[in-house]
Amino acid sequence: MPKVDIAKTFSKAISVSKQEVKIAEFQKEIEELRKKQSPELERELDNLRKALQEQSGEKWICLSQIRTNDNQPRQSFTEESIVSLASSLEKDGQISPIIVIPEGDFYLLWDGERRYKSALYLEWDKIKAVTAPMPADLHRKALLTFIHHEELNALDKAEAIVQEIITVADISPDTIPSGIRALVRRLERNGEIQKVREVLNQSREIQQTTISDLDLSEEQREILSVVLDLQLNPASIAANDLQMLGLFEDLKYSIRNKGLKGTHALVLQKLSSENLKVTPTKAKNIRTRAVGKILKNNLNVPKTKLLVQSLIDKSVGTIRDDKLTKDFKRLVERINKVDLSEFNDDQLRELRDFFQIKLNDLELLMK
Amino acid sequence: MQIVLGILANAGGVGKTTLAVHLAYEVSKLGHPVAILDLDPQRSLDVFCGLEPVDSQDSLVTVFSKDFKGQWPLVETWQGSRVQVCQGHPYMSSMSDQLVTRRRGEYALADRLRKYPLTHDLVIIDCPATLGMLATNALAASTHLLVPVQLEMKSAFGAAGLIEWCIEVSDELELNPRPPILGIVPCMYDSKTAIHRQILQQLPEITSQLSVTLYPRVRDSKEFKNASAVGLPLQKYRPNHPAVEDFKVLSKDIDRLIQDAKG
Repeated sequence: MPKVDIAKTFSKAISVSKQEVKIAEFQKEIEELRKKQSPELERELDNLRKALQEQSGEKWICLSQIRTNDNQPRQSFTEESIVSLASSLEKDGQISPIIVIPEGDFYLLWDGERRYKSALYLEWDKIKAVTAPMPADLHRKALLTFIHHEELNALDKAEAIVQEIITVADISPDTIPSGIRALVRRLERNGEIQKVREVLNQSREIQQTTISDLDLSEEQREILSVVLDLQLNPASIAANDLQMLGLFEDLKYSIRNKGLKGTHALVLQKLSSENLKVTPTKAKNIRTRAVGKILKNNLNVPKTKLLVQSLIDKSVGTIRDDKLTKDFKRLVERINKVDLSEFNDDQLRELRDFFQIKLNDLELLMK
Repeated sequence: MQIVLGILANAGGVGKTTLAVHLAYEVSKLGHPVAILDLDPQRSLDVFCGLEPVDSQDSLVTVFSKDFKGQWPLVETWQGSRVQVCQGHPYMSSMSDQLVTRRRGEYALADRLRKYPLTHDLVIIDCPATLGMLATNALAASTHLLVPVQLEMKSAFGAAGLIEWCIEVSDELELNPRPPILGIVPCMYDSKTAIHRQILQQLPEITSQLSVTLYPRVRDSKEFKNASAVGLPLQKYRPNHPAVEDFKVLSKDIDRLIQDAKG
């Protein structure tokens, strides 16, 4: 009997499935590179685009069918960066397609959010895209990618952490900040914060073993497990990230849309209606003007602190001045209105002595 | 999430239904309720399960009809087992023609399973041996695929074409995630046949290049035929037969998938 060889039979099947594997590997590699902010990222994205183009080709997709990835923690693109890309898109056309993942009748945006936003800005109907398969565990990947991304602003990071805790541990959002603070206090009290820090970059198994050894409540265990899985230190979250969540909404808006830095926002948070002694609306206006000034003049944090202090002094000072002026006028008016004939002799005499003392004081002050 | 396993083949008589039936029984013994849907108009599943043929309104055909409201025509099989069957019917083939012009025709079964979910841990779809509209429906509805292959040139050739087809059609249908091929199962292996031995020897190299699992072969045995003649799986007909072992690795993998899917 002749020897059979089935390798040839399968050669096309093999080349098609190798293409599949290659695409999956590119996707994985890109997530890694994003994490490291490597300059090779763009080249690898190009490779993936080419592989996808080869596999199923480019297509034009309606912008209305695209859903941005809600799980992509980076929610902030400044208007400036979008407008500048839009003008280049208008001038040169779209050079590289965005990468989307089909999901029912819609497409989930995987790479190219800025191109997508710029196309919306230009009121395009369609955008050039290639389709990729769904990477396993998209949310976690997106999160890990972006949480360690320097460009990710502190607010997005804080919200992403809370979102991850909600998703994984099913804890109500309101109790998460206090939960994390309680967790950190407990770790500090038990002298175990160092143990936690040591397993930050360890495998999940090692982290889990460490967590099970700690004296914590069930909820605290769950929070710690999520946080460590993201390679974040709970103490630093409590000290830095959580403060972002309490920022005034207008400051959050400025971070997201105008490019205000988190550290500046924390300083501006002092411009509250209580500190300024004005109504909340007035305080908001003062903050908005301050944000404009900081961004326009590119103020650093110490200068921002000075600005904030001077704004508070000015606001409180003006109020004091205003109040004195008003009191003075009222006083003069009242004295003017007094009808001296209504008093008896004793009262008149007492009043004269009083005025004489006050007159002396007044002359002394005026010298 | 439920595991929906499409058993696909691109050639007849490779042991597809044998695999479906014995796998269903084995997984059900691990404590999981299993449903088998017979997409094959030849309804060979009826024979393996010892079931009388049913009218089309009591078969899977009714699930595809436009006025289906979620009443899956499931029947118990093999007394005391946790396997239920949705029987096939010759009318499936003309239903397949109708699906071509129906809106979302390729997704008809997937849409049914989503809108009227079955409660079983595992749903096995036994497909016809041709890559038409019914196989496309199975592909779109499956979370995983299993490819039985007989160790002969015709079947090997068919399997190669099937793998290309799966990738191509998943792409066209924009299935996301694409149902991965869980593995290839060499079926009806006869160690006395030279070509069976030769092809079995070459398979590991092929499957590693395809990045697909190669499952232990299922041996050929006349006892499979004897068991099906009385409508029983081999595990029930001759529990101590060595071929019973051939399904263990595969069912354990599926058990693990079910556990993972349940979280």
